[in-house]
Amino acid sequence: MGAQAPGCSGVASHPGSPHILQPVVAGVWGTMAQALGEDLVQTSELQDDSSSLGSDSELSGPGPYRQADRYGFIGGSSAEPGPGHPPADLIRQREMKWVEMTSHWEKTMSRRYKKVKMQCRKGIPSALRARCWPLLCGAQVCQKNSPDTYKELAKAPGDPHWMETISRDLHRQFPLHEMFVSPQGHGQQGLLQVLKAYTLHRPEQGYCQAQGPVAAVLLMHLPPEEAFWCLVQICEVYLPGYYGPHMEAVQLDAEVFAALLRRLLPRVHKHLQQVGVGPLLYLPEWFLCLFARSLPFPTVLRVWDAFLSEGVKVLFRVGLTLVRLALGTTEQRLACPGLLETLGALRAIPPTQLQEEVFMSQSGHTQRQPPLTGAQRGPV
Amino acid sequence: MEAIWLYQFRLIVIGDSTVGKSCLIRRFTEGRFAQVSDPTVGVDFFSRLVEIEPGKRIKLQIWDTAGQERFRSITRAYYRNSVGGLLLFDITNRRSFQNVHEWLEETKVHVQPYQIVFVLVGHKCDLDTQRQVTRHEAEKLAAAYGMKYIETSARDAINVEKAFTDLTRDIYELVKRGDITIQEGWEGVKSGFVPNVVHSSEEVVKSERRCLC
Repeated sequence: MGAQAPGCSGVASHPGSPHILQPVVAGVWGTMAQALGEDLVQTSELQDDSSSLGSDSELSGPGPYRQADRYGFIGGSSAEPGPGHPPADLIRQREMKWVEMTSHWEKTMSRRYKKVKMQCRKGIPSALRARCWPLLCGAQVCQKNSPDTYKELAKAPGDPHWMETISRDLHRQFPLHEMFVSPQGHGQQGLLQVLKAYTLHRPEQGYCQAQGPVAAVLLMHLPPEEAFWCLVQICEVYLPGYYGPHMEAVQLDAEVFAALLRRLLPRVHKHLQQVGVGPLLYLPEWFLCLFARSLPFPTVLRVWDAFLSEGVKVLFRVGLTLVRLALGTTEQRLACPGLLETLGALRAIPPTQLQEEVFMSQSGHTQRQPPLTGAQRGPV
Repeated sequence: MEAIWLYQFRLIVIGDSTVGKSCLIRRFTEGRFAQVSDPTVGVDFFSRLVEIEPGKRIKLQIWDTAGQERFRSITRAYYRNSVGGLLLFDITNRRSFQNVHEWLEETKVHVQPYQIVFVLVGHKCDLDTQRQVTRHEAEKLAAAYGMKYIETSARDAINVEKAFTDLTRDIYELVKRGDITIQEGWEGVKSGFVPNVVHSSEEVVKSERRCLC
């Protein structure tokens, strides 16, 4: 088992993400315009998310007021499977597909990548995310090639400067998730270990505050060692230059995003220019945190499934979709005469539109509902 | 309908990570204290009206910024269009105080040709027992840079209103005196809806009518 990627520094041999290794600008430009309207797999199924994430609660005797939802968020709203939850036999069927695909992963990726991509877009069954994410991003190969690396990093003392910086952020990542409630709990401790290990692994990169939420979501699904290698892959292969000391790549991608807006949503782009909202005002949090703090959690997981199989262009699709949902119609733009209202609209998209199935089809990742035609949608 | 305001000032809030920038702004704009606040990634944006004299209201656009050094490459683009700033340090964290100088240098470079009116804010003053910076030395540093100094607590709502309104008043005085002027292509100060303007234009219309008679 395992992909072919020989190393973890992420050059051109990662079969899981054939697109993400192209130069950022050219790759995105080429694929994005077409990808937005791309016709994809027809699916009437919904994915399963009924597993017990974060089941090993840090809480003693959870009272009703501290009840966690099925993603582990205390007081969260995802206690029950959402509307249209797939029947048990469909969940089972999907799980079987993934078990089959992952049992000879290398072959699957080299011969049937398209199928993997489609299945990722439909959503990885939650019981299998822990197995699939490290496979998809190449983390498993890294771990296999360097079996002692993480253990050594975990044992080694961290740089005091980074330890202090990381420690100050530990209690601020998903404070409402049961895994991250307690300072001594395995959530915060795991976060410290993984982030520390990264600063030792790449001392020239150090720690970026935006890595916190990314590592936290990984730790909700994976043991620290697997989470560490996924973080390494995300920072070095998927989003190189995003988190480093100068954060130059995320700024470059913000420029690319603006250029895509001008081409794909020209009226929205004009509006944003008029009110003075440049992409650096909203995009860094979206992209750096992989939308972990900007979308409902079930949707975050679906976006990550697609991102880990397809790469950064998924972030562009999701970002463009959010802008379109917030400001796509003339009425919406008229309601936002200034900068403040416009930024507010980008944060106030109705939750029904961000529901995982609705959103994944809106962003062109699935086609559960027929996309609206230009006439229905109104000018953008 | 939007409240009528005389001017809009754009303020920026800077300082080291975890000194409490977001909490201070939230206390001021939302009137509540968040026990835990996500680290700010990039820039965040808030607004509130303040009344500096009876009937004279200023709209504040407040920019919250990520404190970690590497985010400066993103946040520094927003210094230039700010007329005022709150430079925060945490009175229980000596390093955040030592970095005040660096923050001022950083802004000075990127704000040219404009200037930012800063106030130095010693935050978390409710944690007096853990204090690592005395009020005296902070006042001395502020004076050396021509800034006012104020100590605040978002948790106990101490001086939060005062920090923002004093700064707003100071900027207003500079605008009134003509030391700060509204400029095309600069977002620091913008003039708003002024009831007087409506009245005077009505008068103009009346006088014109009279002429026609």
